[in-house]
Amino acid sequence: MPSDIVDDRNILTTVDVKKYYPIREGFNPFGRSQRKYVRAVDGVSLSIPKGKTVAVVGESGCGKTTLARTITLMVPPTSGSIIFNGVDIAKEKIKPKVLYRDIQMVFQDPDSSLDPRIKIKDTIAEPIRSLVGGSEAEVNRYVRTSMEAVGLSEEQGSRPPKQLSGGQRQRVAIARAIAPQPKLIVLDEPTSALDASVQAQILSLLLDLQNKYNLSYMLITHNISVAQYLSDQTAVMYAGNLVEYGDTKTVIRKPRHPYTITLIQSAPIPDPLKRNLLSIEIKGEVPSAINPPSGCRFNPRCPYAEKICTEINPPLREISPGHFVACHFAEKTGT
Amino acid sequence: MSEKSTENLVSVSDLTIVYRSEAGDLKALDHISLGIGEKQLIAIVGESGCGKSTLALSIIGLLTRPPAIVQSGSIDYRNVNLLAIAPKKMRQYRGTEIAMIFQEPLTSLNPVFPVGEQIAEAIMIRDLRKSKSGFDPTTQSDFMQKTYKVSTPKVSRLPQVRRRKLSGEMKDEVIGYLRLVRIADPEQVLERYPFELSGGMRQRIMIAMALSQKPALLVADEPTTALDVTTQAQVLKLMRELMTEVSTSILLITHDLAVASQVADRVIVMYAGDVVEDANVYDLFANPLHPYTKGLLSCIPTGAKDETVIKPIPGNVPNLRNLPEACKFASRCPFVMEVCKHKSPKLVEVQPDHKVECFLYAQ
Amino acid sequence: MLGLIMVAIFLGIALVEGVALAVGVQLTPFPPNQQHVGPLFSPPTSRYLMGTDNFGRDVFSRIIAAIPNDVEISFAVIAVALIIGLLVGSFAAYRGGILEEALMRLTDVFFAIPALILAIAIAVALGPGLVNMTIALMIIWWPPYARLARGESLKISHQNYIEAARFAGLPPPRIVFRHVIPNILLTMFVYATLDIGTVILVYSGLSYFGLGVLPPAADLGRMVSEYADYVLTYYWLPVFPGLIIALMVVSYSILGDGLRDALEVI
Repeated sequence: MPSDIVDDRNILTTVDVKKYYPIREGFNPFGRSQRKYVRAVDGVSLSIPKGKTVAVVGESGCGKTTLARTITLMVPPTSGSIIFNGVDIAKEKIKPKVLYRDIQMVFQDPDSSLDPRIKIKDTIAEPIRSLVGGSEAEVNRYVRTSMEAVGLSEEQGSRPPKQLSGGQRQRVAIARAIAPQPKLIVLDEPTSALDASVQAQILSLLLDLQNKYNLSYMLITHNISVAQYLSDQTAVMYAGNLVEYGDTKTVIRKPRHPYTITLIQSAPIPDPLKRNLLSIEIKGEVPSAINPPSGCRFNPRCPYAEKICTEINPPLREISPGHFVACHFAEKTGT
Repeated sequence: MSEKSTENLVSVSDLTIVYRSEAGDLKALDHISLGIGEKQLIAIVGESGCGKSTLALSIIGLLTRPPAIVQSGSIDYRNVNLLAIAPKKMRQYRGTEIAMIFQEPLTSLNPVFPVGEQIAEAIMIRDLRKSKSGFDPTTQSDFMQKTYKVSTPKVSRLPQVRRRKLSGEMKDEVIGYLRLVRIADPEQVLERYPFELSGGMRQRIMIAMALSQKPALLVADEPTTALDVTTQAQVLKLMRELMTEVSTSILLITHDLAVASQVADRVIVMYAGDVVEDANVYDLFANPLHPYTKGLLSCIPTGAKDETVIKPIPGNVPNLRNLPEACKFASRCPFVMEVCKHKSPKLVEVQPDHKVECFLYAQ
Repeated sequence: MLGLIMVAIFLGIALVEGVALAVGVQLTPFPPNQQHVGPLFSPPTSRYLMGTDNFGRDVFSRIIAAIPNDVEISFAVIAVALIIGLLVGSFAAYRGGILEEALMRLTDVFFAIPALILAIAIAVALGPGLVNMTIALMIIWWPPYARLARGESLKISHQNYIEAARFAGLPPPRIVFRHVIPNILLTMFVYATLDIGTVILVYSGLSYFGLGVLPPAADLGRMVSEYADYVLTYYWLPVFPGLIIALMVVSYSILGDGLRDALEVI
């Protein structure tokens, strides 16, 4: 298992983290209450090495956003361990003011992640005032440093969010996240809402910041090229499970799980001579999270599926050093 | 070279559209010209604010005028200037010969009717227009009753909701369109409500509704932006195949150059209300001329973390109000010259079938 | 802006009168409760702008004296309703769970109390009069505000900046006060301005039944009820007070409309 190595090299390790949401269907005092669950995250184990980026890739409904919110304790995990900086934050009660000194998050939508009534320099100052404290002068120093690091001027700091562009607002969100000098930043689709040229600026900025401050990133994205550009390792999620995990170059260039292969083939390549999209055959759609298919969640859509795939959900296994795939037939899929 | 060639299905000529407001006139489109041929997929690529949505809406006649004002130019469809005709006449074209699908399929479909009925409604309106009774709402229900036997069955048992069932020819036609957009189990799907379907399915329903009109041109405004990447691939492939099956042209609006490269025959790059480059897709990617196009291409991350460096385009899109006489891209252009700051370049064909609006290539 | 001006006028009158009362200066042309300042039942003249009543008191003076009642009660009730409603609604929405259920059901209980019955009960227990009626209305006026605050808070609670505040380590009460309430305040204010007029109408109804300010003090609602029979004869007696009530309500409505339009632009 990739997370058997719970050691100093990793800033965060999750062990079999699960997040289930119960659904109550009706109220029947005479019958047994049907306990049904949305299995948003169904046993995910991964590690984020210090100073590196792990991309969690998947489509809508795969659980990657829930995973992000679970490991940051925005929602309490249903089960499993989340070992951050040597401490299992899922089991030990850790004060928010202590935890969020070291873990921060950048959200997807730059429009809703900033309070519209508050000037951006105060938005950036808020975590400092609350988590770090100190005199006004010290707080201002933190704020100024953050703003410089992301390329915002002091003049822009006095403005409310609506006077800034989408890209600038995302810079504010990043400045706010780095202000308390955290060790790990979870980036939830940080550039999905931005134009291509702005996206490029933000991605470059994120790389610079990582190098400058030795930050660790967990990058949630559905965009393979962004994942490839920013991350060292990639984890692919489908219907709450991790289906493939390893070094980014390996996972993206030599994918072995049938879903990963489909995902990579669907990503449009900007070259009209390589029209990959027109030759794919993808069956079916993302499964329901309440009633997933039995066995391997991908089996109804998988060209390699056989009987065992409907019975047993394959665990992640190492098919080559550092490359893990959850598929009964991983050996066959490499073309 | 004039765009008004007889081969083109739609010709946009010298079109200028401004939005009038108290803060000043916002020039959304600045003397643009382009052509859409038969059975072609033209991709308009640009970032937010470049005017592509305004262009799409003006072709289909959904632009609210005012505040939008057409300052110059025309949009010719089969020798009729769509901008000059009365709204009533435009309705004859909109939805029938020129159809549109939008970005967000959930809000484009009526949530209280099953999708089968919505497609049926589209078909019914199409036939109404062509029938002798014309498009008159008062005769609509008679027509419906007589032609399609859409009747209300008796309530069978509580608490099931009374449902109109499509019957006979109408149902077959609806199923036909559902199959056309490659929906498996069309009999099941036609009774579903939009919220019961996934985004990809909804977008296919939209396409089915649009195609049921047998349009000559389908305008698709960012149809896959809200979809997952695998669904996007399916929908794009579908659109490309349908184009030949149904003999429709498609105008695809997108911000994603990669998407354009995959399905388009021709790519038109827009920036701040101008067409800056217009070429067939192979030429554009093999030999991009305009600095903005080159910049866009180099923004796409294509390699791994330590392998590639993407070069973002510095600066921001200019304010579209009170524009000075100059190239709009000048402040961000790595090849900027003195003339660029004082004059606006024109769109000129500098290579066969490859037009660009830049002083680097033409005076 | 018309609404603003009109409301400002009424507010101004109330304020000035409040000061004058405290100081003991009489601002009206005639002492409002003084009988026989002129002939009985005089129609409006240049001396008695709105005529005189059956006791020879100047109607115009009485109306001026009566306006502050309505202004005070409407502002007081709305202010309290806003505060209670905001607190109850925003906390219920943010915390969710059992607290939300409990608070919302409590809101429903208060919502179900009919104004008139409660007012009568309080009048029986504590006596009629402006203060007691104010208390009565305060008790039952806040539930719609709580519901509105809860709805608006729910809309906001999904915004990312609320989650970001959690990442800043802020405890729930601080998040509610700093991020939730300021962002729903505008909507609540617009609703409140449209609601103020209603308080005046309800209070007028209460004083119509004799539950408001006691005679001989002037009170608009009571004036309408006492003199209703004279509407075809000495019309100035019920019509002027009624008109002033209507004018106050309308001016608040216009203010509210204007506020709403102005805010939509933002």
